[in-house]
Amino acid sequence: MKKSIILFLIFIMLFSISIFAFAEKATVEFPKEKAIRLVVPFGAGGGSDIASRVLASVAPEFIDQRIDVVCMPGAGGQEAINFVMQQPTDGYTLLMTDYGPFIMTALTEKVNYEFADWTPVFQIAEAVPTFFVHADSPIKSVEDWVKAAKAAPGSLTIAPGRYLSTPHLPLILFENLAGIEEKHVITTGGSEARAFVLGKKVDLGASFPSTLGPLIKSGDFRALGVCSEERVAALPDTPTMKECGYDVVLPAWMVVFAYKSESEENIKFLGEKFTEALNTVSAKALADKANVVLTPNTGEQLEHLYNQTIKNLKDILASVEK
Amino acid sequence: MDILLVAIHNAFSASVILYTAFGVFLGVTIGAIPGLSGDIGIALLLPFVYKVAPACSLGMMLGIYKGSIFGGSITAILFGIPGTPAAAATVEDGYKAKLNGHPQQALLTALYSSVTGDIFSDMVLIFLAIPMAGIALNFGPVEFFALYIFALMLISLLTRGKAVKGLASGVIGLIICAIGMDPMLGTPRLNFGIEQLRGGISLIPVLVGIFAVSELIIQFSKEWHDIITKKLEKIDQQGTFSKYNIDKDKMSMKIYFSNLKATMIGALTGTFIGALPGAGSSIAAYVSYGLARRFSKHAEKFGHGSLEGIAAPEAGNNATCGATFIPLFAFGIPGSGIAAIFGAALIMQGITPGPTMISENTLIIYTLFVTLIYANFINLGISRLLLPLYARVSMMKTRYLIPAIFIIALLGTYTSRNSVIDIWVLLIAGILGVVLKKNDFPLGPLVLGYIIGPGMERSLRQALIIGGEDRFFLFKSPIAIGLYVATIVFLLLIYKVVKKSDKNL
Amino acid sequence: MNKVTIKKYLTYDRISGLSLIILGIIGSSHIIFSGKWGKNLGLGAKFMPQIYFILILITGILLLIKKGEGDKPQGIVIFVNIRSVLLFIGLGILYFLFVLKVGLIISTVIYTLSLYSLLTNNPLKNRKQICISSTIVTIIVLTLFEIMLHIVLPIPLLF
Repeated sequence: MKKSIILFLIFIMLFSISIFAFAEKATVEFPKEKAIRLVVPFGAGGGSDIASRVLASVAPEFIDQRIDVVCMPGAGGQEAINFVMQQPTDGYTLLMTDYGPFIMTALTEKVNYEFADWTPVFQIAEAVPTFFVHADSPIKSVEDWVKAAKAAPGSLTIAPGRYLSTPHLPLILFENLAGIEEKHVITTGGSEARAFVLGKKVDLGASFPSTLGPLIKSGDFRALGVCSEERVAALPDTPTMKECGYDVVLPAWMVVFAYKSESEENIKFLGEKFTEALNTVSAKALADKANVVLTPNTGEQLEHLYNQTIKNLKDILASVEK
Repeated sequence: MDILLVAIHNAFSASVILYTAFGVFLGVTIGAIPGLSGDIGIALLLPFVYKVAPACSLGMMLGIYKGSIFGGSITAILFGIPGTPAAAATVEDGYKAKLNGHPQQALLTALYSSVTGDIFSDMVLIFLAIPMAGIALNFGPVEFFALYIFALMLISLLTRGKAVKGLASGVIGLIICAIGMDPMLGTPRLNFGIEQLRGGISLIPVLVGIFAVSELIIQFSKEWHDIITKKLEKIDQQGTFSKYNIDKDKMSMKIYFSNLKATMIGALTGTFIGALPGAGSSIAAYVSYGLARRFSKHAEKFGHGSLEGIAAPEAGNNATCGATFIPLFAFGIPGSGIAAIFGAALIMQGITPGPTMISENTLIIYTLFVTLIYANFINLGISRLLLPLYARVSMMKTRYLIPAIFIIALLGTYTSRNSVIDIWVLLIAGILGVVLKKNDFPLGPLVLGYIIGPGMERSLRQALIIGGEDRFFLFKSPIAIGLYVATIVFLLLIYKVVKKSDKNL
Repeated sequence: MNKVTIKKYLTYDRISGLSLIILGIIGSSHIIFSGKWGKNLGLGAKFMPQIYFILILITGILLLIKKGEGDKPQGIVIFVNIRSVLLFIGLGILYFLFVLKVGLIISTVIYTLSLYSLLTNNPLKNRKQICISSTIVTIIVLTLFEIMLHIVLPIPLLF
């Protein structure tokens, strides 16, 4: 009796194994097979994470599929990039990043990918690097800043976040244009930079309007200038660096990328649907609530922006080397 | 006042209580799995944040957070494996207490102290957030460096008389954390050309490997030895559980009050350190442990299963729960990964953390405060029910537990970052742990060195950049000087106490 | 110097001390001779690791010259030997590779069956107990990692 039960169980196991091993996969229309994964190379709670979640909350009804946001901040963002590269290139696993870990790292160190391997699918949002000081600081404008820096070269300290990050690069560009020299106090990110300025441990800082907003509103910080073509809606009284006489326009885009995509159609489909999703009233309302500046962009325009950014960054780096 | 009453009414609605309770249960379970901590549970829940009412989602996240900090202590005490980094300091005395036959007492001491520390810091958050945040802002690179030196000094407390080995262990921890990336510039260093080590060696696999895998290897070796020498037959006849008398392992209010001094030291220390952006619950736990030992009347019992040695780090690590929100609520600056996630959840609800947060969102914030307080009692209730069960399970014969714990530790580590290199690190750290244990090197200093290393190096280099050519810049802050003096004083006093206590053993 | 004297001299502490000295020398040499380590912002990336390796060297020397019994291992750690370590780690590596390539459920079943068989005196006699234990552990692992935590694994061959 026991023997036959054991034989029966073995038979069931073998039968199940064969079903799983040999069953043919039916082809399913994109993106119905499984959830789309957006992999973010930053910690949860950051600007990229929140922008991804805005997309993830409005887009599913347009593509008829769930979107999962996965944060992988390890190895300065390289872990997330490597993870996406290892997944099947069927368009279900995408990278959502700004140019920091993605382009800057590739330009400064050896990485195992080429820029041409990645296709920009869709731009979700944009964050504009903003220079700021403590409200008590004697520096009231960009002009004061340059004056103070030139009066005592190398004496001013500024906390621009991580090394060669999206607020750090515009700072380097500005210093080159203004001909000034300062001490860069590299931090773990925007939070530490804001804490140092608030505690008056450094003279200036660089961060983004979404996180600076509350402290500027409460009168603790003063924004000196923004690095965009036009003034930012969240900080209407803050001039652009261009208005102050320095052509520093380097907004940090947040773009979804696909690696060695098998199907151009799928990419186009996602780009169009995402654009539709972010142009809805609910998307705009959610973005406003979350302090995210939506800039839906796709197709050739986005491709151009991507290539232009790579060129700009190469130029800035070349000037840093000098 | 009206708003407060409405807030209390909202917070005590059935749905909020249920979500919070579920969060606590989830948190304790996740925290108990070596390799996983509350961040993962909360990050997994973020998509649901704007699908349920704000009070419910925030309640669930709070429940997970508080539950997970305590949950890590369960495996720390029962198996000598910290389930979360915050529980690393609890292993020192917690595991010894279990081996002495008092797992339930140890667990309940940990629970009661955790809840006490948590409630204390929640009160500080609610009533003293702004002044505390103001104090925290005075900590810049110079002050942080002095704090890290103070914490490193505590390594000497974890060496139990083996000063040189303890120092070596601590420095090994510092070297491990230096591998991979320069913390300032992110450039590769000490990775010996191995591409996968570029990101450095993550804390979780090191922690789980050093404590869990090494202990499993040792237990496996013992069981294997018994099999080979045919001793097992005799042991088999003794049943599934080792000799354990649960009646002799009861907790009482008397015991709780006898450990109250250590608990309050932990609560105060944890709240202070938790309010400092970047400092972390593990550092709070170790510093609490060190200070409690210094001020204890029975310092010689620390390291041998002292309940005070459990109460202090437990109160310390849970006291960071409320305090970590202080910089977030006061200035919108998240001081830890968890605070950043909460910040994101608040932002998605349309609440921008910062100075005007409370005045612009009074009702929801007051509801959050009330939930913060009662989540502690839910934690107390649920954990109280689960603990005797866990204590029983832990007293199972080791060979039944070895495969289960190994699988859970391995998969838990893999789940946290999906990194294959983490598994290699886990196994190598396990071998390292065995080598260190066999040569009688204490493990606590290694973990402390690893945790403190990056912050210490970063703050030193930041301070030197700011100071420029001023060689004495590191000593120009009154807070820093105070910390250096405290370090020297404690070092001398500890040396005296340790010499005395080790003589008595 | 005969074998007995060498064995007497090489206590556990002294072997540890020698190992630490070697580690310190290798580490310091690597730092000194490896050239520039990225941009020098302030102290640079080399400074702290160099300090750490020098400290390791010092602790190694102190352990080497320390007088005393040499601290023989105590407790159950004396049962650890190369064979048991290799066996446990080897099985662990196989388990993980199976999880990635073959599937979570099958690997867990095979691993638990193997380990429980190894740790039981008479595996054939106690096969019922082994199978039950293995099933319980597999169910717990499945519930925790697959159902609750949605562990992200590469697509396996089986399940």
